[in-house]
Amino acid sequence: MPSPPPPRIRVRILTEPIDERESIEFVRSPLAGAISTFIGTARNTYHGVDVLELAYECYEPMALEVLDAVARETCARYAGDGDERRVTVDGRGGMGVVAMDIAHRVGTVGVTETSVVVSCAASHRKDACDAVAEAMELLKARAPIWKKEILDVVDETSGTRVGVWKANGLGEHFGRDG
Amino acid sequence: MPLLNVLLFARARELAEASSTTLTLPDDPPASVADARAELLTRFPQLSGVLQTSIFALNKTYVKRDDERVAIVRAGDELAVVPPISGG
Repeated sequence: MPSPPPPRIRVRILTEPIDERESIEFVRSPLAGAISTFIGTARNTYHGVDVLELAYECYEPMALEVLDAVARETCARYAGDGDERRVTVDGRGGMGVVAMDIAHRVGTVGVTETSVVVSCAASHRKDACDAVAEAMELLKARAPIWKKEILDVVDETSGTRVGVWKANGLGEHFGRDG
Repeated sequence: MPLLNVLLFARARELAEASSTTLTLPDDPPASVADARAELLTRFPQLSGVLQTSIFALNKTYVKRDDERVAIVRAGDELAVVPPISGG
């Protein structure tokens, strides 16, 4: 029985717009029967106030290490046993996850634009979908990346737009359980 | 006297009006992340609020709040102030 090959992994921090299609093509594999992709996009509202754009920043060397660890951990969790002879009825198994791509944008991200993409290819669909969801949860809990919402509100003192730093509220390192 | 590079991000960067700084800390006994936290607060009193909700990353590894006293900093180390994260 063939053992699954090591997963193909790529993680990136980008200042340019993310090409979602290219992320999908990166994970595409003859071993995969499913590709799942999560696309995070910039929303236009915060507690009923109009959001003009998002401003992201990151601690890039550490963020890349964290994203790589997130991808490796998730791929290991959803690895298969390499046995494609069994008839799977649960959407799992075989080679399991064979490739994962994570890209996060930094800098200014306009409303509707993509801030993050996670793509995953797996032998079967549930492993692909679950691995993407789990990688996103880990990214939000661990990656040193910060988002500021620039609101359609002008501060009367400074004359500049009001910005609000967000908090994911689920950071495992921050001792919260949100 | 270890010279420590400190990186500041997000709200901490804005309040300090700097994206990095250096701290000189005593080396006998060796200084800890907790000492760095106290020194940062002395240098940048305006960070008192954000530091309460921030943790540190020492050489790109998070230091749990409870471990700050035992996490020793050495000359040339890179310490980052990590306010609550919000990637995604």
